[in-house]
Amino acid sequence: MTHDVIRHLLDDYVTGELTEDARAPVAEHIDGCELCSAEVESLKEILARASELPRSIDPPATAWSNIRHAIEHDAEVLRRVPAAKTWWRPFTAAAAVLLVAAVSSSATYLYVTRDPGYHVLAPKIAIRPAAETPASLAAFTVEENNYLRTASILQELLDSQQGELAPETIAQLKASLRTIDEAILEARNALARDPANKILIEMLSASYRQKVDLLRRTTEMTRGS
Amino acid sequence: MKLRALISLVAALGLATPLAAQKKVERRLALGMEGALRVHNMVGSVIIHGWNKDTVLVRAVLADGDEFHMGGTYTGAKMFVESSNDRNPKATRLEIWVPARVRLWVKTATANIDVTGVSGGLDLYVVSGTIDVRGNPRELNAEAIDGDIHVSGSSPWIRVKSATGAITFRGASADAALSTVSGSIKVEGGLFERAKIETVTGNITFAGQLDRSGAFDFDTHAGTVDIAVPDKTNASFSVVTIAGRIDNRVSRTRALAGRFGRGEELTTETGAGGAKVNVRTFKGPVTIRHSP
Repeated sequence: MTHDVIRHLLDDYVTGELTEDARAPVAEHIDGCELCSAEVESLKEILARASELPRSIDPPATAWSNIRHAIEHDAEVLRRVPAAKTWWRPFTAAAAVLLVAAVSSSATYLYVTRDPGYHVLAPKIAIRPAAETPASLAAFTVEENNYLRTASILQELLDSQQGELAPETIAQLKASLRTIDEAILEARNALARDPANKILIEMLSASYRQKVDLLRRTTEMTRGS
Repeated sequence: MKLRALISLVAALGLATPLAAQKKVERRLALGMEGALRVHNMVGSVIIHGWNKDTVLVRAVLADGDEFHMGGTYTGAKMFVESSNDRNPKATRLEIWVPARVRLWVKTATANIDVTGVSGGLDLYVVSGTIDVRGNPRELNAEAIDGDIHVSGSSPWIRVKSATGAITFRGASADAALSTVSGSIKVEGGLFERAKIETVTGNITFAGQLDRSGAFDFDTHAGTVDIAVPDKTNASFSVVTIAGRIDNRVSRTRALAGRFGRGEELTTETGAGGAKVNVRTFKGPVTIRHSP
């Protein structure tokens, strides 16, 4: 199995859902791959944090009005920064806590109740156009799986076409993919620490788009006219 | 005497070998001024000149055993080099004169592409060669994997992508999107209405004029971003870094600590505001300044 195929299996590896046959080669790869090893640690951390969350949270009746109020004030304050910077902080912090709880709860719900047939159904979900970004961590997680799956398919296609490329080009391509993977890992780790950070979600989406685009372009160019 | 004759013969053959290993070809084909032309050459170079004739002229230097093929109609034509050894193709030099407004498609593996004076649409693809474009194509789509791409001229619509190669663009565009992984991107020149420039680790340098109603996005993970705009630019800047620094030299507004605890954020305007400039980096530093 290739690195990219294994990366796609890491979540199942961490949750113990891999078959025994698949588990051994994945574990062997993780032992020798710094990137996958770090990814596994990151996934374990997310899992541990998710397991501490309640199965569901009923938001207080005033939650949405509080969030909306905070957003409106946020926009207003941004126009007047830095003079009125301090008074809105508690409000935004409260809204952020609610948002994190809601996002984490949704993520946990998705995780706990996910359909075993998901992997079969997921390819039907289209990857969003470049201009759009997922609105939440839960939405991003779904999109991330699509990117991983697409990248994995393209990588396998490219592996089968490697004879068409010069060794120098293959080396350059691998270096580029490694660069993108490192950026993804760095942003992913940052997102694990800061799950409500939309900028990070956008950056991760952009990095995944870059990876899929590079693989797609290379396979298309290698195929000939 | 016989020995001397033999040596002379061997020497003559030795000298002749490089010449015999190459074959020169010259072909012509009628093609409308706004026709379409596809060119495919694996290795070597493709040099294209636009001219004001409804004719395609090709001068090719082929390796021995390779064959040049060209055909088509007045509205569309195609040419390619058939290598005698697909696993190890030899270099071919194609120099082609095309109707200036032609729609041109060129694909190579390790051949460099050089296009001058074509005002039609350009689609150029290389794996590891370089792409040079001089002129004002109606549209430009240029893609490389590890080759550099240089564009000198203006185009209303431009899409340029490389991975490890560098991109330089000297000109203007209504709609430009430039992207690399680790290659640098340097933009210099005229007026831009929309631009999207992104890298993963490559540095971004932009020195151009921003249309007041335009939208400009700069994204990088770890590259530096250096944006230089003229003194009287009307623009609204929104800069966010997760772990990078922001150096604002266009206004007195200071970057604030990032709302997520790290990095910095800056929202500021120049002139009366207008052009929306969004910059996002993970850890790359950002500098916004006035053009010298």
